[in-house]
This record gives sequence, structure tokens and C-alpha cells, in this order.
Amino acid sequence: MATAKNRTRAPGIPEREAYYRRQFRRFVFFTTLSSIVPLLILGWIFNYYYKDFATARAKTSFVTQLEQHAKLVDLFLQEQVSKLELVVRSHTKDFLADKENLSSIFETINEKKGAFNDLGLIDEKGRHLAYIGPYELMDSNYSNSFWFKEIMTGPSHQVYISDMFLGFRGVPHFIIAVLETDGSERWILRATIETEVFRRIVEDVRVGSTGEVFLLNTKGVYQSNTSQGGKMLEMSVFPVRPFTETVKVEVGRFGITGSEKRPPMQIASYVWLNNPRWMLAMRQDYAEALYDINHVTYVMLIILLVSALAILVVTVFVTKYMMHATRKRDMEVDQANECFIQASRLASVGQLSAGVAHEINNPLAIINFENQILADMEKTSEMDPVFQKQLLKSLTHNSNMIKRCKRLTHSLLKFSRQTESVIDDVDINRLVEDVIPLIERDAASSGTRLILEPQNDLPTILTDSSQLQQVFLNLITNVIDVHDETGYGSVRIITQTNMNDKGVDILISDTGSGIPPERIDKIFDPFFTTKPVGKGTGLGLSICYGIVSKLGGRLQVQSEVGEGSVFTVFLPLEPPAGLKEDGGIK
Amino acid sequence: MKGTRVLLVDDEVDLTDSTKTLLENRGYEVTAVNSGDSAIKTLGQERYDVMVLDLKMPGMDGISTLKEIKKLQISTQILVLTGHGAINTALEAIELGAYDYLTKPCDIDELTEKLEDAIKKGESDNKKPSLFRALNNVIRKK
Repeated sequence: MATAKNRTRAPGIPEREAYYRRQFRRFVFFTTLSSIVPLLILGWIFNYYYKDFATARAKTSFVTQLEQHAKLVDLFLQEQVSKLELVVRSHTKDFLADKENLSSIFETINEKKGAFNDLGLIDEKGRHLAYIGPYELMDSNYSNSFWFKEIMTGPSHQVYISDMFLGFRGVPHFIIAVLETDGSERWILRATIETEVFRRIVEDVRVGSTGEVFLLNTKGVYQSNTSQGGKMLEMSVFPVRPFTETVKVEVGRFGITGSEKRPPMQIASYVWLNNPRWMLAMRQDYAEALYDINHVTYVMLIILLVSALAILVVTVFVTKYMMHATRKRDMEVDQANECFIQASRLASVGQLSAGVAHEINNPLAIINFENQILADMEKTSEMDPVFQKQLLKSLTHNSNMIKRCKRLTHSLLKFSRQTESVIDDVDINRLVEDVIPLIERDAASSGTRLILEPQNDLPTILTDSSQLQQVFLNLITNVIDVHDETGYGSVRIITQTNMNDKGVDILISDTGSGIPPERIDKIFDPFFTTKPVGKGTGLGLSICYGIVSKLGGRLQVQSEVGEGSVFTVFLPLEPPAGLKEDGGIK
Repeated sequence: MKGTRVLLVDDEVDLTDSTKTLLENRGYEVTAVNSGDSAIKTLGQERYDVMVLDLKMPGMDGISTLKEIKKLQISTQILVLTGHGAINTALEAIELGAYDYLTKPCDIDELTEKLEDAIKKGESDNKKPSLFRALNNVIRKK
């Protein structure tokens, strides 16, 4: 039964709290979800496209870098070839066979870069006709050398560039040989390229800390040292790629270069030189080449994380604030409802009492008149003296009781009329005295003594007595309630003339705990209450304030924490002009 | 005052009965009716010095009755009797030409007092036209 009754009512406090908590969680969850998910999607999309873009850029940079490098290497080789060709074309074999001539030519062509290690003139039998260089090679016979065989079996004019080899001198090197045919005579101008100079040109490119640039011959043998430990003339782990004159770029695993356990993912570009058939290649760990992307991804992750956190924190705070506002609003609605219920209850009580009073008045009038008829007859009729005596006594009793009933019905009617505003001459002392019996019981139960100190020659004022009654009823009840906790105290009500403002002051002081300064500004606000939920509506003082202001007066409060409070009602001798006309002065 | 004609109007028969008895004991000539309609009808047929009118009646209520009586332009003085205690209604009645009002329940002495006052007022009202005539005559003679 009790639960069924509860279900129809507004939810109670614990149910409300659970509801607020549920709403709070829900709101935080959905807000966070709806803001963080798009953020993550955005981040993912950005990352996806940026990665594409950055990979393409890294590849392009690999291509252009290698293109330029290949050009450089090629240019160097062609330059050396051109020098030798020029020498061969512009001089006869006999001239070059002279050691002094050859020496001066060696010095001339070697003047700038020092690219040549030595220079030799070799006849068709493979013997040196002349040799300029650091080694004792004058007696060497090249007829069995792979390069000599290769060049002699080729066309009559040709330039041959060998792979790196150790040869007679036991040091890795390569040669450029130019074959010249003069009638039936064939001879070769052969030069060794200074390995260090060549290496500088090939290897002098830094590609991060994991990158390297190197040359491979068609068999996959290193033609240069590499910065990651590859040695000249060793087999490279890097696979020989198909021939191409334009730079190609690939991403993949090309074998272990350093101390890795498994081949790292790498980006590599390569291109084939024309003469000699060497492959110039460049490779770098993918992770390093795309460091920028990884860095951006990392930074973005942090930003995402921070944003998500910020969103969460803001959401929590905003939701908390909103829930607080909702709670406050709900509470106000509750209180307003309560006030409304109370007001309508009062109104219906008023209506009821008016009805009852009226219905009782008629029979009362009849009883009264019948009583008087009997009284009339008693004067003229002869009757038994004892009966007559009793009749008189009964008639007087009846008359008194009727008067009592009349007083009752009249005050009921008065109560029901309280909302009407009637401006009349009012004796404030009398008004306060009338109010006191209504609250004496309250005062007694809270242990409060009521002390009335009226000023005897207080002027009457023109005002609305029934509304003022409500003001004093509210104010005095309020100050009595202040003593609820202590269980003792006194309320002093003083009336006095206010000469300055031409009116009357009514001071109501209590011996309660006083009002803290931070609350004193709020006590006349509607719905402000310090009483437990359900006890006070928070409307009492604001209604008092409204009524007193309407009547042209002032309601003020002074309070000292621990000492008590003094409410001062000032009422003017006459109400504001507008009110006088509206209220209808009798 | 003996011989004064009083018309009682109240829907409550018991009340008019006892009021009638009391007033007759005090020498008034009393007619009692129990609705606004019959009050107007009775007033149209006979002359009354004072009418005691209840404001709250079923059918035609006191205020409507007053409005109708005002149209008749008769010299009967009207005392309003109300159990309602609503001063506003009483004031409205006075504005409509009622002489005074009484709230139920009242003592018979209060009622007779007001009745006498009302009768005096009625007499002076009635004298006014003749006084005017006398005055006019005096002026004309001059």
C-alpha cells in the first residue's frame, strides 16, 4: 500500500540521487564518445594520408639524390676517359713511348684532381712500352690479363673500364684502357684510377645513420666500400637489380648490413651506369627514412591524448555543473509545488470555512430569533415561578452560546477574506496583540518567551490590517523557530513612533544564533531557507518583504552571530497613493 | 413604530416566521415572502415602509432583486440582511440604493433600531418633494 502510494508521488531523494548519478554517467559517456571518436577518426585519416604523402616524398628524395650522385660518378669517369682519349688521339705511339713525353702528359692530365695513379703505354703483345707510376711494372706482361684479352678482342677503337681487381700490385683498383689502331699497329693507353679519389666521389654521401651508397658490378661484388661495413671486392648482400638507366626505388628487405638479427625494412634506389656496367645503389632503413612521419605520428598521438583528456575533464566539469543546476532547479520546483499545494490547501480551507460559516449563520439567526420570541413571551405570560426562573436562565445561556457561535463564524469568514486588501485605520499595538494568541502555543512548545513592549500613545496608521497580520504572524513564527535548537530564549516585540520617517517601527528581536553575514543578503530571497527540506518553504520572509514594500514600508534585519537578530518593520502613517485608491478606504 | 409596514424577504421560511413573530410582537405590520420574484410582485401591489432583504437566495438573489426594485422607483427603504458577511456585497447593495446592512445572526434590537432609522430616512425622503413644492410656491409668490 505504502509503495503504491509512493509511486504516484515525485521521486524521493535517494531515487533522485541515483537518477542524477545515472544521468551524469550517461552524459559524460556520450559527450566523450561523440567528441573523442571523431577526433580519433580525424587523426587516423590525417595519419593515413600524411603517411602516403611522406612516403612518396621520401621515395622522390631517394630518386633525385641518387640521380645526382650517379651523374657525379658518371661525370668523373667520363672526364678521365675523355682525358685519355684526347691523349691517344692527339699523340703518336712513338711520341708516347718516350718516357719523358708520357711523364709530362701524366703530370698534365693528373694536375687538377690527381685521379690517375699511373699511366702506361702497352703494345699489342701486352708489353709496356712506357710506364709512369709508383710501381715497378715496366716488365709486367698483360697479355694474359682479363682486361687485355677483352680489349684486344673488341672493336679497333674502344674504351674499356675494368671492374675493381687486385692485379699485379695486390691493391683493389680499376683501370681505364683506350685502344688505338694506327694502320696495322694497335696500342693501348692504360691508366689506373686512384682508388681513394674514386672512393671519395662515390662514398662521399651521407644517408642518415643507417644509410649507405655503393657500387656493385654485374655479379654483385662491391666496387666501393660502404659506410655500413661493406668492403670492396666482397659479395654484397644487396641483390643485383635488373638493368635500368632511370633511377628505380624499392621498399623491402635487402639483407643484413649491420648487427641486426633479421634484415631490416629498407628503402633503396638504384641505377645502372653505362660504362662500366656498375649499379649505383643507395639504401636506408625505412624507419629512419620515414622518421618525419613517425615523429609526426608520435606528436599527433600525444596531441590526441591530451585533447581527449581535456575533453573528458571539461565534460566532467560541465556535466557536474549542469547536474548541480538541474538539482537546484528540481529543488525549486519541489518547493514551488509545495508552496502551491499549501496555498491551494489554504484557499480550499478558506472556501470551506466561508461556506460552513454561511450555512451555520442562517440556522443560528433562526435560533437567535426563536430565543428572543421566547424571551418576549416570558415577559407577558403567567407561569410557574420556578419554571420562569429556569427559562430565563436557559434563554440567557442560549443567547450567550449564540453570541459565541457568531464570533466563531465571523472569524472564519474573516480568515477566508484575508486575501482582499482593505485599507483602514489600524492600531498596530492591537494588531500585534491579536496575532500573539495564534502563536503562543508555538512559542511555548519551543520554550520561547514572548515579551510585548508597546508604546502606549502609538498613532494609528492607514494600512491593510489583514495583510499586516500575516506579516507579523510570519515574522514572529520565524523568530520563534530560531529557538527550536536551544529550547529556550525570548522574543521581544517593541512598537514605537518613528518621527523621522513619519510612521511606526515594530522591532522583533530574538536571542537565537544570529545570521551569518554571507546569508543575510539572501534571507529575503524567495525559496531561500535554512530549514530542513519539507519544513520551510523559503517563502515566508519574502512574502513579508513583498507585503511591507507594497504598503510603502521597509523590512530590515540586523544580526550578530551568537547574539541574535532584530527584524525592523517600518510602516508609514499612510500607504502609497496608488494603494489607497485601489484598496478602497472605508 | 406601530403600524409601520415591513416586508420580509428570505428563502428560509423558519427565519421569516420567527422574524415576523418578533416584529409583530413589537407592533409592526409584517408580510413575509420567500423569493425575490414574489417580493417584487408584492411591492407592486402594496406599499411598504421598509423591506428586509436577504442577499443570498436561490433563483433571483438579493442583488438582482435590488436592481429590479430600483427600476420600480418606489419609496420603500431597504435593509439588507446577509449571512455571507461579505462586506463587498453589502457595499454593492448600498450602492444600489439599500439603506444599510445587517449581518446574520443579529439581535432583534439591532434590527428594530435599523428599521427605525430606515423609516426616518424614508419619511425625510418623502418630505423632500413637498418641501420643494412649498419652497417653489414661496418663490413664485414673491
